Amino acid sequence: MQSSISSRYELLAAQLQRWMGLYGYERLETPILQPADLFLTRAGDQIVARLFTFDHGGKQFALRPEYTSPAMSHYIREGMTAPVRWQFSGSVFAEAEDSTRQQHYSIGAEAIGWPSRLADAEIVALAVRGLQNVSLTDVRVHIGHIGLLLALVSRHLSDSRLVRFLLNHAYLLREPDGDARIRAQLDRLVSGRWDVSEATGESPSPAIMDALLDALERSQLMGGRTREDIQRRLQRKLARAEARPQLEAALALLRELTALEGNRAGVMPALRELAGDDEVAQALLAEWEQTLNGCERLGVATECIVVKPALSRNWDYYSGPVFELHGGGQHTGGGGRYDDLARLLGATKPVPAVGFAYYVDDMLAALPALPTKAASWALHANGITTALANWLDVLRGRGIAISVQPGAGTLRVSESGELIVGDRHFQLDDADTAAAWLEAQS
Amino acid sequence: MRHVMLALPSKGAIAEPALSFLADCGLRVEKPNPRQYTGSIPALPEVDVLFQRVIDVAYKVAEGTAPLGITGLDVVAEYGSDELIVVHPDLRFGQCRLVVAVPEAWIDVESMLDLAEVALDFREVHGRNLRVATTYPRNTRQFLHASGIHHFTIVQAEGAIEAAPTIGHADIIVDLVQTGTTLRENHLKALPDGVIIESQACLIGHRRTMLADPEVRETTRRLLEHMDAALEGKRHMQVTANIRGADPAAIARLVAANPLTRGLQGPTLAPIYGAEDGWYTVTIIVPSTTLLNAIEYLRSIGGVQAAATPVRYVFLERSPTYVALLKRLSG
Repeated sequence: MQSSISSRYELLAAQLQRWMGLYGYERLETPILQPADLFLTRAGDQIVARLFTFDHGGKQFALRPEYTSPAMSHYIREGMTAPVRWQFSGSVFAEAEDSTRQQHYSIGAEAIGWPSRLADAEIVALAVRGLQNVSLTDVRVHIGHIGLLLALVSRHLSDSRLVRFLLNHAYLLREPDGDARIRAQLDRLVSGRWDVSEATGESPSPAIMDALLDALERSQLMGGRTREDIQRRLQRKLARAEARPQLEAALALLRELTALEGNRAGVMPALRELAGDDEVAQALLAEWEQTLNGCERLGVATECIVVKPALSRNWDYYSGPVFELHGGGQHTGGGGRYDDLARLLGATKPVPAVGFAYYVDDMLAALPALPTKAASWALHANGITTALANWLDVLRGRGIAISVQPGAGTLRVSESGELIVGDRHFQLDDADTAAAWLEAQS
Repeated sequence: MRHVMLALPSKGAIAEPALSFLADCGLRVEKPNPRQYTGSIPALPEVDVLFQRVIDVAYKVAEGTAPLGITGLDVVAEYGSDELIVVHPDLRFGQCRLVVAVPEAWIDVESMLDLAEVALDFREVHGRNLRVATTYPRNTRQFLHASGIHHFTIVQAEGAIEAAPTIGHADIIVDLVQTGTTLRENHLKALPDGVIIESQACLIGHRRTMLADPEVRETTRRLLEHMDAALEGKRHMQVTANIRGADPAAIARLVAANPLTRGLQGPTLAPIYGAEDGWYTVTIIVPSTTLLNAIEYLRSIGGVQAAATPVRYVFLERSPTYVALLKRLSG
């Protein structure tokens, strides 16, 4: 079972690799074993909790759960400045209850160092048409824009961590009890013992805070934090407890954006109206329209594009357009622009980057038929004679896959050195004819 | 006679309590030479006792050197392996909790969610990870990740973990807490939702040896008979009361009518030979938790002069823990 899946994988990988090669994407190999910090840095809750980690020699290592961080890390470490187009394919790992589901195949591409106007549409088109190229049916791409989403939500909410938290949980709004669940999460974040204002109906008194902070002066133990650190965070916490109305407004906006999805012609005018006279939002919207135009010019049919303004991926480093790929009834991939990752990985300058990955196991599930592998001939013999060895050599030299098997069978070499297939006999001098005949049979 | 090794903690919080627990079970441990690491249990002559550090008890059992041992659930969670099984998880001593504790001065931190944000601040403001001192790296790492905290460094330390923040080795700690006094003395506070393990003493065993060796299983059975009987005994009281009535069977029916006073099987009645006729003494075993309710019911049906005495051992038909163990080993 496993071997048949992996050979189907190889066939699919070969097709996709060739496809991405046509767009100028070169293979990048990165180590399977990486420093764990590389993946922990991204603060993406979901993947980090399922990371395979090991301690060795006092250092923590992880099996790569994806290719994007290793690729960006390679770019930074090598001190590269010229833009690159890279493709990858191989195994990635994530802990799962079912131990046979812990290793997955991943295939995808990263365009690093290219400006948005050149690379974004290209990556989307490459990804969508790649799916169509391997004959997946009903291919759709759901596109959102994290930059625009952040700009719109931040109009209501200034606490950047609250905004991120809200976006990371926005997917809940699509589920039946989503509203209650998102509120339960927010309650944990914004209330608690410091919700003084709610208890007294008044703003927290500066005197109370001063008294609390004075108590700190007497404590010897600060655990690596300064009085200012604690004071700053306490103020942020208090402000959060008072930010309920703003939070409600942001949540209402998110709900509105979630409801807003469909084709470009329907969604974009509504978004323009929502952005109003917000210049930043209008600029991002115009840029997003450019990307969508580019996608269509590069061959993504209008009806394949579903605009989803509230689409937010789970990883914190996405900054621009983000997308999900669907095909054959499966969720077959995803990607987006992630200009913030380089800085998180220690780069001194920002590095523009966009990429995507196919979820290969789901693609294979959606692809029932793949061309079967070219058959290999079995040459039956009980020992290696010179004549046999000569035949193997000339046939392999002419591109015929052939291996030796014990016992009797249709294909053999006679004592006089002829190749015998059923009732046909070939002389070594006429190896070309033999090869052509075998080729035609397989 | 074959000898079966039982590993016991030689020092630490559960060492002395383990010996008194075994003595309560009728399994007094004799240690002929205080400088030696071996002992014996006269009530179970086939058992050789081996004294080890509490973590080494788990190692010795996991590798099969000792097929049986007593250690803490916290140790099992941190150092356990597939071959180590918890035979009795509830020995009712050595209770403690593995908790996340932060400096008292962190008045803004009241929950793990607060701590998660402080960990982000450490990264952004100080450019370094939150440092956590612990002897439980495996459970600490798992728990912090599950709480959404990913930027931390484990500082492995031996003993006196609670001093690590004072010395400056770490920012917070993950350590065992019994009463919380040590934390308070070191100006630390436990986070209410930072409890990683609720621990107590447990009996552990080596799975393969238990499966393969009938003699080890028999020793385990005898050990569990003592332990279950003693633990069951602690949960029960023997109650006697005098009741007057013409017909002893009618009195017995009345007593047994209430589940509180039914006893383990039913009441025992014995006639009292005294001044007046028709007096009987009722004897029943009742759960300690409902003792007063039982006495009050006896009063309501005419019982007087009730007395309650502790029960040392209650032997049920078979040791329930042993029955459960056999089921697990075969499953």
